[in-house]
Amino acid sequence: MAKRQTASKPRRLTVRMYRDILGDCFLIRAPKGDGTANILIDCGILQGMPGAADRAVRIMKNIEAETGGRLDVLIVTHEHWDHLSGFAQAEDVFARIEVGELWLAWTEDRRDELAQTLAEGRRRALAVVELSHAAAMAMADHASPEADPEAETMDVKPRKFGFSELLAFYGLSPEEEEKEERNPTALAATGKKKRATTGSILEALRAHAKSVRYFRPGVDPVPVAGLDDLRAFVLGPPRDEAWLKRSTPRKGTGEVYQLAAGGDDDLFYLAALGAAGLDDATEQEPDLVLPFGRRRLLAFDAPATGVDHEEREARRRFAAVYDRAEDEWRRVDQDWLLAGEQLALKLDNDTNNTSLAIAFEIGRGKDARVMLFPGDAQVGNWLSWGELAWTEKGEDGTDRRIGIEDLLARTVLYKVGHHCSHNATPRERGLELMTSPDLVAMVPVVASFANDAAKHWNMPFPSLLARLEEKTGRRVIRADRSVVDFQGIATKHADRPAELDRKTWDRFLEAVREISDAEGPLAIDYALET
Amino acid sequence: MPAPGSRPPTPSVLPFRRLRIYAFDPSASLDLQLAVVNEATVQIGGEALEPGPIGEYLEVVDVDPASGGFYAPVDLDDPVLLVQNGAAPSEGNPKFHQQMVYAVAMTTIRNFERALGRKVLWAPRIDRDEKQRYVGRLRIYPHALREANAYYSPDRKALLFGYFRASRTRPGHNLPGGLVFTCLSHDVIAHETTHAILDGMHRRYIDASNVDMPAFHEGFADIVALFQHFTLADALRQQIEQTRGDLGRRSVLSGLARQFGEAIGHYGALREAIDDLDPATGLPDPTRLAATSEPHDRGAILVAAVFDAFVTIYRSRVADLLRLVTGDGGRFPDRDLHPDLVARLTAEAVKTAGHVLRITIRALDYLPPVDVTFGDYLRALITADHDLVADDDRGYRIAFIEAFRRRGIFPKGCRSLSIENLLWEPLETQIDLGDLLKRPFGHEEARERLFEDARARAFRLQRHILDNREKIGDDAARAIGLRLDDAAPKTIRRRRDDGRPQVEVHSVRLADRVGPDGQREPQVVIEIAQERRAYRSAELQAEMDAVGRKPGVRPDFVFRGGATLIVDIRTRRIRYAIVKSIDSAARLEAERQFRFGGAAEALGATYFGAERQREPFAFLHRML
Repeated sequence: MAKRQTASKPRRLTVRMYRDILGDCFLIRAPKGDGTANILIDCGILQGMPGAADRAVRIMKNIEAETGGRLDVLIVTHEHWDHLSGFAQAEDVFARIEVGELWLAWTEDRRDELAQTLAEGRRRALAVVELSHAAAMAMADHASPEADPEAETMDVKPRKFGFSELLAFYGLSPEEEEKEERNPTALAATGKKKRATTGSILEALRAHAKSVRYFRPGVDPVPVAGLDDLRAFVLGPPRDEAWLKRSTPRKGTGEVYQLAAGGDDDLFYLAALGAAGLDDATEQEPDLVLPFGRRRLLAFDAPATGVDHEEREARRRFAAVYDRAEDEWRRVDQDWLLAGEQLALKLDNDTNNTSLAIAFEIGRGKDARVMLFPGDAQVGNWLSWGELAWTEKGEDGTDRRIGIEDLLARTVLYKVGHHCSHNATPRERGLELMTSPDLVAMVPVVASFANDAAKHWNMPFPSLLARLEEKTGRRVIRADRSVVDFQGIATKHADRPAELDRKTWDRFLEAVREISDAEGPLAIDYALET
Repeated sequence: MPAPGSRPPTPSVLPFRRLRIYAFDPSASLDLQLAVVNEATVQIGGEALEPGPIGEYLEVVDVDPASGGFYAPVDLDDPVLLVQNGAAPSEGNPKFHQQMVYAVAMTTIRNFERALGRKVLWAPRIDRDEKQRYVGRLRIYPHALREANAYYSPDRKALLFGYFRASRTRPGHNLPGGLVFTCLSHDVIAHETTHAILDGMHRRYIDASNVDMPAFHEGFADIVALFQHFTLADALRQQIEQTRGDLGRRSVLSGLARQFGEAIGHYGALREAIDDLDPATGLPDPTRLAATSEPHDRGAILVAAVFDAFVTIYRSRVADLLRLVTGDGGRFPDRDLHPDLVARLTAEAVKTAGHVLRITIRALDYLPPVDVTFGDYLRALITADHDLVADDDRGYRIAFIEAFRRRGIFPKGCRSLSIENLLWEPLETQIDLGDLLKRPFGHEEARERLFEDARARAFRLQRHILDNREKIGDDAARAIGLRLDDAAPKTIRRRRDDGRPQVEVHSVRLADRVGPDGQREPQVVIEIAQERRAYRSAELQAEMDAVGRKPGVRPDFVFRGGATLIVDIRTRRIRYAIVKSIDSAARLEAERQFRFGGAAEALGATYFGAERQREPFAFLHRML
């Protein structure tokens, strides 16, 4: 096994981003005495990425080798597959790695009442999505043929629900799982055990770690792994439900609708899914879940006998129109299931907003640099940070107030939230406040996979990416680019007007390093002076 | 065996049919003031109906997939129902639901036909080999969904209505957790029917190519729903009584979809036609439009502008009556009104609402075939009204311009907001339209024949333009927004046979309208368009414009351009060409910005891009 001293004695703090995955996995190594403190933030790959399990094993082996099999702190930002899957996919390797502290957001704390409410809501919404998905699958067997990519027709209208993709965030999508497992090596690596879900992984992590700590925003700065010069300022998730539910940049009355949809008003939809037992309230009068009661409804599966003339006539009339073969395209058997998507989307947004967002301060004092790891925090989470403030004794003995503006202004490394989607990096209350000339961004995105024909996700979001390039002077480290690419960028742009000068580029090029294993490129290191 | 429902329309024995509906929605029956006027009777054509109802324009299919069944169809030709104007309004009788969606949708159709001077045709179905198939009947599913939603499905040519439980915490007038049917709201039905009719006229309007397009679809549908309400005289009379004649005040009429709004936890109606005014100046905020991108919010600004124009016109029409009563033409009485005065005010309001409804619908013919903006709509309003009503002695056009200006709605490329400048420009060089007008436009009775005739004319015109592209010339083609020359960007869609730029003639339709002085204005409206493959970045676009296709590179969206040509049948001249150029770099850049650069894109678009294309209104209408 790799030994501790394999990592040469570092004078610098390095942040390693694992490459070529749509998912987060960041390893921070900070000098501590004669050795290093190892901090891992998330390890996951979006469900459906080909060869995901294979890749996870390579990543985990690298983590093991690099850390000597010991993580001082493991931070899991939120319960999504693309932040968690690696711990299950590389289970055997991970089992050998010792974990000191597991850091989770307060939303995962079972003793917390609000957290429990949220967890219950999530459980129910997830059940709805699973049921909707199952219902849609059951009905969609006579789906339309796949659109021919070479066809001259420009209007492609695939018949498709989004449930599967949403379930993929929880490791629950059977289709996406299948895609991964077409790769035989991956199958061999996992050895096909019981299907892991985000919930079960989190559970296993809790058991694996020596201790578990839950964090609320605004607590006193937390020394990371006992280091006084690496402290964590916990920014989110907010305790205020209104912030938690705010996911889109839209102003106005958006929250009202979302809360209205929350409550128990989804039960009516659930009742139709036959979700008995999901909630007591669905087991009420069966008659009440039908809009006109039993009397008016003529069931599709007609009773063979005992039907009067009037009903027979109604059935004949109905079938003559609705079941007419040449009007098959006008049927609406599945449309009502789309309502489940709304719920699913809300669930997904809310989960992203429960991200444990942390600003790491390197060193002390008013010029200390900051690394920002917001998880996938969305607008609401970000906006809530404005309410936080810390007070510290300065060197001259006076009190110094540290607010979010201050932390963002000192940020020199920004892990871009939610794979650089449009709603996870606010403009005024976010990126525009990051004014440090040394700002560097890390973007865990694989554009080719996110934008492909099946997904069509607008990640990275072009205008955000463009602004990041501007703010960082093109020092945007992407999971789908290699270090070599920066050489070209530097040569092309250095010393031009409004660009970084050659010296700064050289310093940056010296700080980034390509990490490979036997099979090829695996990660990118970015080093910061301590 | 002929399929049921396909029997040829037989001359009906009924000169007209009267049907009962809720004037507002069921919740109004629980309001002491409104209960008496909530039951309205509408009069529609007396076509023969099959159970459903299934008629010439509509087929109501009452399937409820979430409940696993369907409801027996209502037979409106049943003598029992005929003698009592249909079933009585009731939430618990699905047959009344079927009757109400039919009655309100038919009323909407009739309003359009009167304004446009022709029959309403639904959008054709485009089948796999791109052939357009006639769709005779719009399908209406009154209970298709279990959610607070209702939408028009362009894919199915159908209206889908949902039912849901009212909010338990803030139910408004509804029973907490009680059932709400969207198909029982006059406004919701009129709104969705309008989407379907608009799609039938401009099928490219459902592709959102700029921020105004989804908003226009929504706003316009609200305008029709709103003013259709004003034609229900009983409800209007009651409201005039209550507001003492001042329709500019918030009332049940100025709100849309009350029950729907209350049920999902708002305090009032879903949307208001009256916008918030600045308390200092008493004027709306003209900068709000620029800051609003959500389609309904943006559409609401359009509705507010039209409503503002309506109130201005109404006030000027009743100024004389007010002077008689209060001694001030601008002041409404502060005491209850005399019933005679109420009757006179109601008559004026109904008349004004009818005019405004017709003006706003008529303008649809004067819109570009693609990429419409609110500014275009203002120009269309003014031009359409100018063509039909030469003498604007009541100042209708000024009222519209003023109301739009106050909300920051300006057309691009206009020197000023004078009426002369807002009229669409006449076409300088005429284009030979072949034999398009040689054959007289017969007044076909059957809508299918009308459709086939228009298809045939469109096809002949397309052939004519393609065969004579040299004769027409590049400059003339560019003047109507097209590129027919071989040097055109290679991304413009080509014909398969000769590889030269393709042109589509979307529609050739007759507009035979009669003005207030009895003069006829027969015109033919032609929509011509081209398609162009467009890409995420300007660099890639430039490259692909030069090479056409490249393996592995797929277009990110389809860019469209072309023109609407208004042809005067009597002079056989193209009177206006309303142009959106296919090779306009500025427009292409604006659309690219809108599609990929906007900050207001909902997450739904990120995850459900594909499904959203198929059901654009399903996402738009949900919870809104």
